Amino acid sequence: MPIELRPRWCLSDDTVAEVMRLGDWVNQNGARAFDQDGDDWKPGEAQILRRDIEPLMDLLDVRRHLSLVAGQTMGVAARWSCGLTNNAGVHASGPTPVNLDGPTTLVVEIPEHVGGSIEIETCLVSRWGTDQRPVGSSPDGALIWSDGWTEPPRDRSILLEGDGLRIPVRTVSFTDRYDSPAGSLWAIELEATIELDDLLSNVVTVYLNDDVLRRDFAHADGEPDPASIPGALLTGVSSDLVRSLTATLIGELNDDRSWNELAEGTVGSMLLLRLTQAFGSVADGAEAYENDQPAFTRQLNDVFAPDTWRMTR
Amino acid sequence: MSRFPEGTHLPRTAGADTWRPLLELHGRSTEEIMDLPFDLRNAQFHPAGALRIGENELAEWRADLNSWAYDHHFPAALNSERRSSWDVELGKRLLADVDGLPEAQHPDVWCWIATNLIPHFIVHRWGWPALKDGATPTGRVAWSRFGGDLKNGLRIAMHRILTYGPDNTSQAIEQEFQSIQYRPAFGLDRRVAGVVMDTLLRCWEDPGSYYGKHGGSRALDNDDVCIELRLINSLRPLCFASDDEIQTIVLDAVKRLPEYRKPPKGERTGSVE
Repeated sequence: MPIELRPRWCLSDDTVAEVMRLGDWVNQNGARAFDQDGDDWKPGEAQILRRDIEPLMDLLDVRRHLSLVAGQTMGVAARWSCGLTNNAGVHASGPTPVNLDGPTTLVVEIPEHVGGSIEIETCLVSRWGTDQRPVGSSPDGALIWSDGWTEPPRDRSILLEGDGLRIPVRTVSFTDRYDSPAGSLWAIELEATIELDDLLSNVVTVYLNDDVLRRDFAHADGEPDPASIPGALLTGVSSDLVRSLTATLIGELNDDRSWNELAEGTVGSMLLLRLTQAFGSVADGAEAYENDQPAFTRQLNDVFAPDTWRMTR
Repeated sequence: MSRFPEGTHLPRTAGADTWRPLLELHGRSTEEIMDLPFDLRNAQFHPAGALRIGENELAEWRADLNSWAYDHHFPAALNSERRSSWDVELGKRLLADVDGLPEAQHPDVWCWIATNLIPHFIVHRWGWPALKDGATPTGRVAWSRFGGDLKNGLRIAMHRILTYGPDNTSQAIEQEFQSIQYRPAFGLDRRVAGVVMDTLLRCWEDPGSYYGKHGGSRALDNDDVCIELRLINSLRPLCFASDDEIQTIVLDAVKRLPEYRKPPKGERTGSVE
């Protein structure tokens, strides 16, 4: 809706930016919520999001700047919605907007039963402490500004579940799982009966060693933080995964089969993509594996090479 | 709590062609399809779900649901009264069975369950999709009762219980549900939707209220009120209003019903030249 079609008491983005600073929406870890890529959330996990709001001038000046009259106050509020699960709600202390009488923090608690993505909108709402409103003024509870008026939903959305192929990654103590202390960071396990048309996520699991994570990749509170593993190490995991699958399924990779008929997300479709990227075709990849394994591994490392091998993420 | 261990993840399916496995079953009786085999090997699970439900657990669940269905007059045809009762009881039963599970309300999970585990429940309540030019229909819209969105016959039963509660769900009529559900600007917020529905149902019970009486019909009056609420909501979001404030707004809209019911001026005075 163009701004000129709104009631005259509505504020523009510029006016609001002059009187208050709206921080980023951040999640429990302090990371920008809109940067989430769908890898971090898991079903059943509630989210707490925060946005700091700070007036940039004396509150009297804020009132003057926003043309608030006697008896009128302004509150900040947030609403969220999840189209996938048909659910919506408002900020934690809601439904009443939070009075803006100094620096404040909007908190939104997204319940566990959501999925897909969450859209979030920050609003300014007019409040009246009197029934004697001037003629033509905004009603009590009226929206006077929303970031949803100018920012498209995609810029206000938090991705919980991406569309991309995801392989289950579990954090376990290798000491417990394999009955002996281990210094390796990862291990890959494949189902014994794995076939090309199996869904990858059903037959492959990547295990991260909790013992190593706690030692080398932990938050300040000592809890393991897999997200801090450098990209160069993830290259090793990806390369190892394709090499393991190739080794296990080598007998089927030379088959004269219609590879393009394999459904998305299957073991075969992933091998088709990666071996074609690295070697030109599945058959050439299989041949390279059988004839020269060091060269095979080198090619895979090249395909998965990060932007930098320096140990930063 | 759920009948399954805490943290159990359920199979999922999503996409534009989730209905395809049902094509060859179209037209069969509910009893013919109530124990269909299913294959978990090619079912998707959320990658973060360490504990996945097994085939035996799913089969036992279906057997229990089938027993429950026989106790609720399955497979006898449903009249409108029994349909309402079936919806309420099914919603309550499914919610109880998955209570506390991480994906208890995930559409992709209910799409898989509707398509693979208990398609006979959907057919019993909603029938098979109507033939198109004598042929089994194809496409997402035709099969939406088995799909991922809120038309899914299982999701809708649970959603209504969650949003309106069992009592109001059993009292409301289909048009009342739809008038709110299809106005997501305010209807997505379950608290708001619940207060709106509750207020309207109290108006229906009140002999002095205009709602559904004194020359009006319940379905059309509800539509008029919800149109008015959508307009009010764009100016004054109902989600930031208290229950009492929402109730007052709905009651004010109901009081204006005689005005909404009047035909537009052009119609009253004949044609406009």
